[in-house]
Amino acid sequence: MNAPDRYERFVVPEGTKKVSYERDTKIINAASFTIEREDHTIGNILRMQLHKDPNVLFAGYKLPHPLQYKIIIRIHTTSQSSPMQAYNQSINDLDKELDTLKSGFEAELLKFSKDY
Amino acid sequence: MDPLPEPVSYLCGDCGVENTLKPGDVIQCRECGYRILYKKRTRRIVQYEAR
Amino acid sequence: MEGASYARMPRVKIRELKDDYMKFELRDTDASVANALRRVMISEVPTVAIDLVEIEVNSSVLNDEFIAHRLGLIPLTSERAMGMRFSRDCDACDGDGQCEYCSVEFHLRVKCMTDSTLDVTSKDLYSSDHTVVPVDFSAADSSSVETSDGRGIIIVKLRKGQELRLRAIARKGIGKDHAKWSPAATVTFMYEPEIHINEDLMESLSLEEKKEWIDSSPTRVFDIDPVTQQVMVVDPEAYSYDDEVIKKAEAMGKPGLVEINAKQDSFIFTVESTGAVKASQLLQNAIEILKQKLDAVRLSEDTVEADDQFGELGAHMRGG
Repeated sequence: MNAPDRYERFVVPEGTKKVSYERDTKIINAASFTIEREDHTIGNILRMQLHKDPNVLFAGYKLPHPLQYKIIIRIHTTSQSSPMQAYNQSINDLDKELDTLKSGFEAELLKFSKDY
Repeated sequence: MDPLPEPVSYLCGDCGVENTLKPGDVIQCRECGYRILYKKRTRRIVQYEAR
Repeated sequence: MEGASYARMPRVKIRELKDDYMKFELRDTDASVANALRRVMISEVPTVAIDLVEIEVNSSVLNDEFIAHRLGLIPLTSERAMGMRFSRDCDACDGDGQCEYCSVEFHLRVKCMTDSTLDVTSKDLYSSDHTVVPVDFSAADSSSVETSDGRGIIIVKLRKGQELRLRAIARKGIGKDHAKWSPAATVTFMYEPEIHINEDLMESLSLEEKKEWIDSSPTRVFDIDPVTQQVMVVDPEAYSYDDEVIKKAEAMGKPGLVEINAKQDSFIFTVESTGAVKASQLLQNAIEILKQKLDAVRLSEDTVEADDQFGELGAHMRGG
């Protein structure tokens, strides 16, 4: 009866920012990214990709509450990088990985339909 | 103060005959005396979410 | 300030491919990517499904909402769904979500006139768009047992005199909203197992003991070579990570008889589609959706600018 509409889980309300960025008040090169209407799908791949970056000292994500449809990604980097740089880099790298996967699969599909 | 209340037709739960009832009428089939009457389905189009 | 790239080069290999089933290997990536693909295939790849039902006449034994619900669950061919609009952000129709860009109309008019019961099936649904129709399963594999003579999905049965007349609107949606929009029947992945038998230790077992050990596995992973009578791995992927053979080896006083580890960067996927999109297309769509999602979480210009100007200052002020 009073359950929230299901689309609340993936439609960003008007006037709300998809990604907001907040620096840590005490530690330099540490920040939190709040991503609206995303979940483990995005949170976990970003976190794992950030772990590949040697300049990232800490990267973690949390889903604060199952009915708050947002995730928070926290990044702490060395002075060689910045949370923002690491964050952008991780997205670019994942995007590149998916491009490889896409073309790889297309080629495989072509090969497979020829072979059989 | 309703303007003349319309008679409503019902279907007998036993013999299926149509009965027209006005307010105050005894709820009973004219043909067989059965006391369960069913309201007829609306002729309006009804809308549902398929969920 | 462009950093080094840490992008991986994943490899894929298709093992089995049918319209509604696919098995493939995914290598050189990690579980997060494998799981993201699985999650997207299940709940974020769009399809088209009936979302609104207007019932004119229904004298069947099933009530209106029951029939509306059943109609919603019928898979519709959704190759077009990726290019369609969601009704909620369609500006061609003023909010009612019934225009050609974001919806497909269906009609169903059936009346039973005979003494025998009449099956109303998904084949009785008439679509306004020939690309969006109820999925036809009879053509897919006519070799196997045909589903009720290839007559489609039964919606309701009518006896003499009963009638069903309705109009339905199908819309684009995703599984996150309602499971009826999920194009996936099941999507699973497992780590590829690496199984090493300690041959020396294995040869210290008698044939009887070997058989006993092989039988301790709930799935048929090992068997005995009929010629050499050696234990061999017949199907490593049948192993369900149940540890039974390892426990058995220990119980037999032979710890380390077999070593099994899960390769952390190799996955075996199985994808089963509902028929709304082909299994191969489902993966391609999932990759595309995941890319779109990543693009959506990029930092906006104004966020970066605001931080450049006030970030440091703001942080110090907030810090006191």
